[in-house]
Amino acid sequence: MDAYGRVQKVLEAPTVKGDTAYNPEYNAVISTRNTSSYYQLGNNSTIALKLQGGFSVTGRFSIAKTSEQTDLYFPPGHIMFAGYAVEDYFKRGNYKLTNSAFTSYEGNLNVNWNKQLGLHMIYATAGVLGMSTKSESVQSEVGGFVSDQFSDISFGSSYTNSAPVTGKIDTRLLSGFANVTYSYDNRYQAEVGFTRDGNSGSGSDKLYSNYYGGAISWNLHNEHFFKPNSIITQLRIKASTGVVGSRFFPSYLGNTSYNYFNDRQYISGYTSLSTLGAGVGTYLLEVANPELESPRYSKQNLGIDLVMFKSRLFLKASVFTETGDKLVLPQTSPRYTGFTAFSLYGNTGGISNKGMEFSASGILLQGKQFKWNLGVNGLHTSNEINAISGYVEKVNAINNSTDKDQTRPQPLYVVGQPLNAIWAVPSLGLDRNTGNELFKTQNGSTSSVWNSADKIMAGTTTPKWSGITWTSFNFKQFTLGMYAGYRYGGYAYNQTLADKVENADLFYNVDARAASNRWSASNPEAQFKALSLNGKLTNPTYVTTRFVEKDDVLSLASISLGYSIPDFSKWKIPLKNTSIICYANNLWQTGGPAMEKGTAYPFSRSFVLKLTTSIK
Amino acid sequence: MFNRKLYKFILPVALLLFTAGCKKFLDAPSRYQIKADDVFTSEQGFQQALDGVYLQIGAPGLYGKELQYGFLSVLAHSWDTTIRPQIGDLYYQAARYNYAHPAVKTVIGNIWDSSYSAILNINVALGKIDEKKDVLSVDGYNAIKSELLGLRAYLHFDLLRMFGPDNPASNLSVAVMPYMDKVSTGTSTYLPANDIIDRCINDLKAAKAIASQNKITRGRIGYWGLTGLLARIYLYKADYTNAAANAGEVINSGKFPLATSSADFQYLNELLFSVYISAPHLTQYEKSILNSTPSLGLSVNGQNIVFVAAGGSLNDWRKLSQFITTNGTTTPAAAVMLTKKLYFQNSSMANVLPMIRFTEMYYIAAECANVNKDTTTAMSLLNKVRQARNFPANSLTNLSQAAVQTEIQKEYMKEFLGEGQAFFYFKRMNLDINNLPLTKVSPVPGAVYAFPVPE
Repeated sequence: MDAYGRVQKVLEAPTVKGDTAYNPEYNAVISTRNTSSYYQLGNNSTIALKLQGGFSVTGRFSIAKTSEQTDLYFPPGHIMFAGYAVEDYFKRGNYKLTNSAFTSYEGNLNVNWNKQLGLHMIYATAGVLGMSTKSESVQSEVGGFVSDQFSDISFGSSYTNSAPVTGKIDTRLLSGFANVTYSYDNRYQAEVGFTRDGNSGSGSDKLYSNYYGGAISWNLHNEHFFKPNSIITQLRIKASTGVVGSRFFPSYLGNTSYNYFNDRQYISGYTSLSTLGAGVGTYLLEVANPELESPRYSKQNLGIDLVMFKSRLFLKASVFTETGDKLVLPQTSPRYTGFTAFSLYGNTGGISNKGMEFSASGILLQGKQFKWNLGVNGLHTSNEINAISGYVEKVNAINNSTDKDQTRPQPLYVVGQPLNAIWAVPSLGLDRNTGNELFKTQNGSTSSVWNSADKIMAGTTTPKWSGITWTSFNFKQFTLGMYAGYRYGGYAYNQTLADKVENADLFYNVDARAASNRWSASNPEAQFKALSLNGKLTNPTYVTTRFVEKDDVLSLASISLGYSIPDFSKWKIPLKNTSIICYANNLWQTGGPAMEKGTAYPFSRSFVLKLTTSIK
Repeated sequence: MFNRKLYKFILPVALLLFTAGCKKFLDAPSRYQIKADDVFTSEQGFQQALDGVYLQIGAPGLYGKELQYGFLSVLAHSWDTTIRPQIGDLYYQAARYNYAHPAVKTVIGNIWDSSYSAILNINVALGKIDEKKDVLSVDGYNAIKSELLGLRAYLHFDLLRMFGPDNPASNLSVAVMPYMDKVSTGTSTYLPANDIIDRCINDLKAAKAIASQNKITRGRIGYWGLTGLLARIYLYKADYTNAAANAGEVINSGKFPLATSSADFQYLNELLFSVYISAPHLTQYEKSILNSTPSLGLSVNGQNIVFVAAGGSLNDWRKLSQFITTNGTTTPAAAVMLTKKLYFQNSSMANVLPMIRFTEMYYIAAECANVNKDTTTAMSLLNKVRQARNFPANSLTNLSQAAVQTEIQKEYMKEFLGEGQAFFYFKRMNLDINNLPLTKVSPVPGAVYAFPVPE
């Protein structure tokens, strides 16, 4: 900003490096625009018909339509156009206008039946569901703006693409299901279900998939041997198993489709006469895999619900496993099949996920004027890749190559390893004498050369346990609430140490730690490699376990204090349920790697004062 | 009771929905492309899929450039002017037969991928054509199917000629590549030349059986193109009887008059099969190598070696006034000389590149006769072509068997200049790769003709 508080476009010119440093803040004072607006309309109609003999029929039909417009405008004065040459002056400015629409129709019809015979109770339901969705989008891109003042596409001079970018995805789903629940004396319950899905995305040979499931539960507290007592109020054990599919995979995968050559025609008669519309050619764009089917997930769950001390303590716990197979992945075929140019998909992926979760909540103290609640929940989950395809192996090879930025962790998908793992080369620390990093190679030897083939699974970003804990305290009309999140047992790659310390370009922003604790002959025990003007150029630090850090975090997500005004009636004001609440978010956090944050999306703390009321 | 009625009503309805109606419902329209089932609903759709294949093989990576006047013509020693490092990695390393060089490797990989991709397009259409026979007219079905089969054979045979082993006649049982005769995503067996040739011949015979002899379809692979290809393939496997028979069938058909003037320097009436490249694209492809600096071309000295020296003639129409510089004049001021058939600023030029020339039939027939020591017939066949290129009648007389073969080789270099066919001749005759005509740079040590098969 200048002396008058105006935002300047140029921060420094020339900089020490000789170029001009522009001010991104300047983009905000001109008509730069990134907006989207949408319009949504929906209708739900339901009919329910109760019939004799325990039968009932319900039908539902819904239509939803969403239209969205996105405007992304960079005016000619935007700093991205600052380097344009004089002859390109009228090419500056860029406006992207995207219009998209999503329409869905869904209808279902269910027949329900329930019957009670003494202690036996049967509830059965069967139904059909049909669904059709359609999404379309068109994007036009216009360039050649001259004024920073107006953000309207009509001021542009020409299209920057010769044709608009369009997309269209249609899906259709037809599903039928049947479900029977049997309950005996409110003690035992059993349930079986069956679903048959037809999905437009599946290959022609596998249009339909069958899914099924079953569950049992046992209400121990209703058992005859269970004596009512003051400790256990309710105790239920439940188990379920089943196989489900995914209904949402792109509809075009199961189709063979063509596109037209729209810039040439095939004229075999050697004449340019009367060739209008003749010789139009088509070419294969996608080739269907007739065997393609919906991915399948097999799920098992075992749980317990417990209510104790006259409903003052609620406990829930469960263990679960989920195994997905036949996951849809791109296929690689030998080059002579001709399929290299086509996206061919197959059911080759597999992943399993298992874990446990619990939640406990209870009233710690309760009096006439006050109440103190405390709760905690937790989730432990771990996943493992069971199967990959040749395509994924190729992705791994690319992610291990220099085509990818190896100064940051690149994902690798390895059977037997978790999905969200950090892959890094094991570091033995810095060599006291040279300051170079030493690595442990695959065969166990020590090397000063970083080799992507030596990468190991250095930890997963999924915490061993995560959850929230909360407490609330009510006293008279006051309520104090606190929510804290925790995660424990996961890892993170400290990218800041890589980017802004060891690989830092000293002409640009660096981390506060960039100058301290660097290796030199007089500081052989240093934590970081020797200081250089541009670490990434001279001695780059590629992804190393040295920067893999524990990511154990406790953060106070929200704290609130509220006061509800008891009654206005004595002042003859027609209001009720009036309360004032103030809360603060993201106040405090401890643990985790010391990294910069908020660079991609601004980190914010918010303080809110809220008044709510309703008129009598 | 109502309950029973409900059962009777709802269940069948639900069941019905699930069997008959849903197949149609689940046939959701595709993205912005056209679904295969919508393409193959009419003869026009099949025609468009077929024309799409012609457009694909006319791509610059295949017969639009590299397998004509580009890469393959460098290997065929059609160009000599600028075979030096400045011309760029691709053509310089190609001149050295350095297939391991990344630039060359990329082009070879693309030839393999694009050919097989076109073959996949063919196989998808062939997989539908019998199923949808009822939407096609008899003539339409016959023409489209025969062309698809013919193109499949043409592409496979050219892959075999490129990727097959050196000295092919002695290595017919070495496994080279798969013959893709149906859509397949898995692995296929690598077949030796013998088997690939048999499959090509089967496809061509099936195609010939339904192709029309009366249609002269120079821009498509019709009956005469199929026959010409059969002659070419039989010669490759040294089946001289069948090669001569097929070549003879074309020669004696009377459908293709030999030229009597130099007016048509592309010799369009002598084309058995050619590929059309739309005008702006062809200009762009040709310009990309023939009008760049430095570009490919044949020097005046080179022209004399090919056309004039050792029994040639200055008046050969393929030489006389055919070579122009990049600025369009015939004065050899600029070093780069091009043949008009490839680079001509006249808009009346047909935008086609030859795939099989009628004259090749004379060379095939002559070679077959010569192999059987019938030099008289061989010379008479060659003289017919020479006469159609402005030589006096009976210009070749009293030549030995070896001399006749040399004349055939010269004809491949003259007639197919900038068309790549001479490379296949060198390879088939197993000529010493280090001692080919017009060699400007030495091949890399251990150079071979056979392209490496991409992994």
